[in-house]
Amino acid sequence: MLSCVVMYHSFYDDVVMPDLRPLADKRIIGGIYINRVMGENRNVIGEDLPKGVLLRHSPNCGKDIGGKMVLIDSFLRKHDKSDWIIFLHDKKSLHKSTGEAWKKKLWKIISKEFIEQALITISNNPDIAMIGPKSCKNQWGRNETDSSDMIVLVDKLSEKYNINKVEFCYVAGGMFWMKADIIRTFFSKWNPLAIRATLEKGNVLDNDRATVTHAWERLFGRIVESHGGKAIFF
Amino acid sequence: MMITIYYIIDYAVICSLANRQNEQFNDLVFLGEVYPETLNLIGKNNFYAAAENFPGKLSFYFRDISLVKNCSYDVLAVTYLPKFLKRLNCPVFFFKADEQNWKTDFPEDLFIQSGYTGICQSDDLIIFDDQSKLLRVSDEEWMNAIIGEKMWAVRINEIDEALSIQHLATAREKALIGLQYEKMALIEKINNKQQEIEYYKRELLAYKLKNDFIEQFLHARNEKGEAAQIQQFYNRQYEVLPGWYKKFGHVIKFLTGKRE
Repeated sequence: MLSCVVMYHSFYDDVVMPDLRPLADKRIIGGIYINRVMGENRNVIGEDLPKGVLLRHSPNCGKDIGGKMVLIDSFLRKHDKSDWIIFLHDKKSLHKSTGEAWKKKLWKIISKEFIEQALITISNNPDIAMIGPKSCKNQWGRNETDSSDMIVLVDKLSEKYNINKVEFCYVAGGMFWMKADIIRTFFSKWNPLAIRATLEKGNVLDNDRATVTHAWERLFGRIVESHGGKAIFF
Repeated sequence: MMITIYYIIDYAVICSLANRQNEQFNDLVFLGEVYPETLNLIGKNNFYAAAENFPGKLSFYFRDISLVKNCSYDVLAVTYLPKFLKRLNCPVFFFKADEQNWKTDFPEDLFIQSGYTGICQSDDLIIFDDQSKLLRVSDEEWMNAIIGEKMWAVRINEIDEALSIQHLATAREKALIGLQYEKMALIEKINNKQQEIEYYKRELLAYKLKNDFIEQFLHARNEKGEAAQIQQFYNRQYEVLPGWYKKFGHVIKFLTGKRE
């Protein structure tokens, strides 16, 4: 039986966590990891969470990518044996009028239909290592946010972290399924907390300049391809 | 009351404490005293899992601050635990360090790069309304300044002692329970006495009422006796007289002006 861990990064006080019941219905949910951004005048998720829920409180660093790094670190330290990781966060994108619709497209990855399709795909294609929503699929270098600065930065980071400079696709918005083995292999070599320390602080945007945080949003896709995995979107 | 217990970092001890989860340990702050030989336990799975269910708040006491450099990411990871002791959303560490050189020994940059604002100077420690900063305690004096009277500090150098403290604490709790029983017994005794007093009060009242009743009864009986005597006297002296005599008597009364 497949075991999936949900990693959820929580920043906003007024965003309710997405409904994880479709995952529970399929009996594939192996654990829930939550990173709550701490700060003044912010509600803190209670410590009395149900068993199987791991909670971390961390400062706002690298937005959801920073949250992913904290949770991946915990995942490795706990020697979690789960097969897949589903990355989610409470995206708002206040700088965009389409923010809410964008989040809905991304949260589709835990809908009943998506899960069913993902499970069939995984069982038939062992090479699949990343699954994302088709409406948020970006081909590397062919998107307007993949500026020349961003391309330089992603390549520079690829060199630094020994990631093959292959063509790849990524999920704009950073919510996807990823094979845990690739996460284990890559982040056992490269400390996620050390990577997190290189990310920008606060509400960093990629409108004006290429940021390390947004480069990492793309690098997850390249890590998959670099480790021989394939990404699929539907 | 907040209690601080220092002990050598050892997950076995932490597990042992964590097993007491059902007890009220929420306000406790446990400071793990870090020695070189126990350094490798920080951030490792067993410690991490134990700290997850830790019964109170957690922090570290570094006798040698330069040790942090050898395990900076492990220490950083532990600060993300919700149970880690934080003030103003920043982790609090306790360490002894040279006032001039501690910055070179402590990996301050890593903590700043990871989203914490920085490490405040000793002078700022008492003021907690300072902006988000990593708090540093350089010695026990500062520790006391932070802890104030709210904590009860116990220094433990051996794991056995750490465990014995638990036994002591248990003994203390038991003693408190004993005192409580004693108090309860006294209250019960007082209650019983109170009930006794009430009983006697009622008895007294009943007695008084009984006495009054008897008195009234006797008085009424006396009165009744007198009336009977008068009636008897009347019957004997008047009722027995013939009717014409009584009527004649009325005429005399009328004539003498004693009857209208």
